[in-house]
Amino acid sequence: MYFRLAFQNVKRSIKDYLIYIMTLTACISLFYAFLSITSRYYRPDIGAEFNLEVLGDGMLLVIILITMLLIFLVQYVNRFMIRNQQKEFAVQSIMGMEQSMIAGLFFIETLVMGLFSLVLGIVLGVIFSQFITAMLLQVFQKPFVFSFMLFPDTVFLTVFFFGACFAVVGLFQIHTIRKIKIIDMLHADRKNEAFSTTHKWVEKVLKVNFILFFLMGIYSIRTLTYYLTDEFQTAIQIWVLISIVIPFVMVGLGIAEKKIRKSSSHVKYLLMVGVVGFAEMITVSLLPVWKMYFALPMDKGAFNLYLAFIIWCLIFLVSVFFVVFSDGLLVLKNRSLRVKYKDENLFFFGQILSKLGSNTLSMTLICLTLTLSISLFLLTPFLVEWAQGFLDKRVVYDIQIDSDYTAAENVKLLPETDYTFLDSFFEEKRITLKDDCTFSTYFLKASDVHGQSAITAISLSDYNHLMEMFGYEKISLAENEFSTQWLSITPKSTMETFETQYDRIATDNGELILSAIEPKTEELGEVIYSNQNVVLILPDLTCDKLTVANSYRYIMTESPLSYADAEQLTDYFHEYMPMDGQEVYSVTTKTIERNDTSALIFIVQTGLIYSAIILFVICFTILSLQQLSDSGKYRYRFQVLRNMGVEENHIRRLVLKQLGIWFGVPVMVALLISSAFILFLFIGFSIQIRTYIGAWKLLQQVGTILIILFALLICYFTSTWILFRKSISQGQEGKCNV
Amino acid sequence: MKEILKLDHIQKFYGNEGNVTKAIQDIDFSVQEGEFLGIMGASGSGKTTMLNCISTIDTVSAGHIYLDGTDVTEIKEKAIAKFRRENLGFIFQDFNLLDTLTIRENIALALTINHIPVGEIEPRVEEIAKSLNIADILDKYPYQVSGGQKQRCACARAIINHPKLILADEPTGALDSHSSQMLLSTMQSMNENLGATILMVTHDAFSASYANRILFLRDGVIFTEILKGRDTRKVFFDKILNVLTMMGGGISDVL
Repeated sequence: MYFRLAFQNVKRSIKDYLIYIMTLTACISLFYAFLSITSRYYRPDIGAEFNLEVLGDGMLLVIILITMLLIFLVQYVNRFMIRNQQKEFAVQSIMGMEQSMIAGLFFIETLVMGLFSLVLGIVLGVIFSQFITAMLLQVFQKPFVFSFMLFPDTVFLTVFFFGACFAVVGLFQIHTIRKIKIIDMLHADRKNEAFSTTHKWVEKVLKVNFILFFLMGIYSIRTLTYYLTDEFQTAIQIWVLISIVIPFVMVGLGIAEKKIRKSSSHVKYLLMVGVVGFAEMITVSLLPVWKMYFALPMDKGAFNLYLAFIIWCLIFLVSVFFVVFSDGLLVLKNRSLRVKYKDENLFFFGQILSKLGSNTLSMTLICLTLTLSISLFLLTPFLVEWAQGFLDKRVVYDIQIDSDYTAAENVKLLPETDYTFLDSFFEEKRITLKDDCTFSTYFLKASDVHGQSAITAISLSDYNHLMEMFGYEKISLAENEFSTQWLSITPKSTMETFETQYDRIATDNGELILSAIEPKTEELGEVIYSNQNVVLILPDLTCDKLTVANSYRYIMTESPLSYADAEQLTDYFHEYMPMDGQEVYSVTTKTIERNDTSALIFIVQTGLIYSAIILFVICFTILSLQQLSDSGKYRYRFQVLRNMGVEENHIRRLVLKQLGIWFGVPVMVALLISSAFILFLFIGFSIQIRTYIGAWKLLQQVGTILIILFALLICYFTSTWILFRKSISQGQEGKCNV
Repeated sequence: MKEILKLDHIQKFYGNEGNVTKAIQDIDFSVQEGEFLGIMGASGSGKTTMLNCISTIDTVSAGHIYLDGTDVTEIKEKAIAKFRRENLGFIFQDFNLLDTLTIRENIALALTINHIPVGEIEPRVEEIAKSLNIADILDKYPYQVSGGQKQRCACARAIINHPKLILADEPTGALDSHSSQMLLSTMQSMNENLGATILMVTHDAFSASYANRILFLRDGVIFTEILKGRDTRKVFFDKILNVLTMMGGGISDVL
């Protein structure tokens, strides 16, 4: 009987549950989709050269940790649902139902909704997981194929996890409902809170801010005065002076707080503090620019401290912004009669201010969370493409064997080897080699051995062999000439400086002059440079008498190495070349590198995207519920407007305006901050972006992400709008009293 | 005297075939400009339904309602809100004030909705507040003032646009006796000094005694009508009680 009652309640109030179902479904489907990758049954067609086991545990941990956040959200949504239904609870208790029974009924009701979302979520999750598979296949550079992803272990984990979630939250809600007094339930939707516009929390933030700025000022005096010598550019010196002065201006504002507040308004004071904070943020943000373009030397710890301080400034500015926004509206309303007394503006201001006044803290937190998630979201393609692009440049050979003389304790003791011992392994495993190049790099002078980072050289014939491997054109040199091969991300200016400085070089085997050939930047792997940007190309004859620095063997195989073979090859190699604690010799196979790096990239990528979407969902849900939780009050207020003769289309416009501000302001602020952040990143890392990613590709990815963000935003905005309008038009017909 | 409101044999039915409730059987009366009319009747007598019909919130099933010559039953859906805000003022039992606005803003809202020039708003609010004795609480919020003050604020809001008719639905319903008395005096002075035409629905005899004329409704028809004329309020009050006794089932039921 009771179950039927609960079930009927569900059927009747399914619209009220819209937000609840939407949020849960979104979370469950994401959870399922991301988790399905770790399933034992998941066998995407990524080929024998890949091994997905590396993914498993890392992913599982990441997903479950992030999902813990959801318990908080489910709890929040539940509280809203309880508030929404209190009147009904009141009627039930007046009829004589036990409060524990009411709680039980409500629990069943939410459970039915939960189960419904669970089923819907898993179905959607199966669909979403296709996108994740697509993402995975893209990371492993395979074409997309459809695979059906309903796995029993993932379903079990999803049901188990969310079941536990419901149970925990359910216990809490039973406890909550049993504690509410009947009289409070009856009047729940009309409770009047005296609305306050004092933002006590911001006073605390200000205090912390003053202390931090003071400490930062002292720290800057200690660290930055070092740059006040003629060694550094005037721009840097001016910057140093400014960045020392600003913190103390802030501290001064803190000390003179009472005085300023007495003579001018609260808003003006906050504006002053905000402007100084903003100036500080811009100033500190210049630091990476100096570092990048003027090669400003700075200790890593200090640099990170300054970057962390930018984040504090941001938090502080957003806090100040919302308080100023809220109080500023109030000032605007009171100052400008023209604005205040235009149409229904009075009502509109009342709506926004009454809500914002007591919610500036949560708005600030939501805005910061949104900023974080948008930044994470935008950062993802950047990191992924970078790592992937880097992988493509770093591992260009199927099998790459290197030595690194700088890691050895005594270079003279190193055995000279041409790595021919591997041939038997290739024979045994029937691995056919398409191309095979064994070569060495040389010191220009034997005495360079002792330096840690000498420029080394490669012989012309070996160089041309490598060029041939990739189908590049060979180069030729005269007997007394040399040329250069550069790491591809080297800036042009460095090359030019080198050219003027080293137009002729001295070797143990005579002097050489720089040839007229353009410096080369072809991709030949990143190891042959021995910790430098450049390797010199010398005629074969010259090399003959030079001291060997490193020995290499680079191999291209006919068909890709399988993952198992690659692992065995590594073991086999290290059996012959024991490491003895010195990492002199290394073998890198494209198979293992690509697999492991791709797996890591994928974990990072899914982790970032998953957290970003979950944070979006959380923020939007909270924003939406903040508007819907007062539906009783709103219904009354809008009914008053109707009674006074305000047209329906005006009321619709008012609702739209109100929701627009409520969703729009935090989203716009968050977008603004995160796009500034991303712009900063793009400018700062423009070279790497051009080399590893390609600006157009990155822009495409950023566009995709913005589309996802807006799709989510529109979903939540629309459903909030529908529910809002539904709640304010309830009881409109035939009754003038509410 | 001008006839401001005329109800021409209105009827109102609820329900569908086979199960029809007649909320208003047949009501026909008119209100002159400057009148203070009371409508009395027990619960279910149709007084609130009638008020809703006059205030254009509900529609009649038959008959016509004329307000200053305009047939409100013929006004198009789109024009109703405009008609309401330009011609009618409302006073409700639960005040209908917005808790987000100060008393001043609550009164001003009625003006801004009617697009009154910005410069006129503040002086008009001050003026009406002075005459209704709420000038000193103008900058307080509704939750900071008493019920009586709230209701006087509602009166100020109702009258500030000089509507042709003020409709009051149980205005003293949520007030204690002292506040009720103050409010009724206020309404009386609105009627006498500001020339407001008021139609007040109540089931409280004391409140009704402030009106000039009272219509008694029973089961959707006008049962009777009494006029105050030159009587004192005490005498008028006794008359009302007599009518109520007579209506309350009638003496024949007791004997």
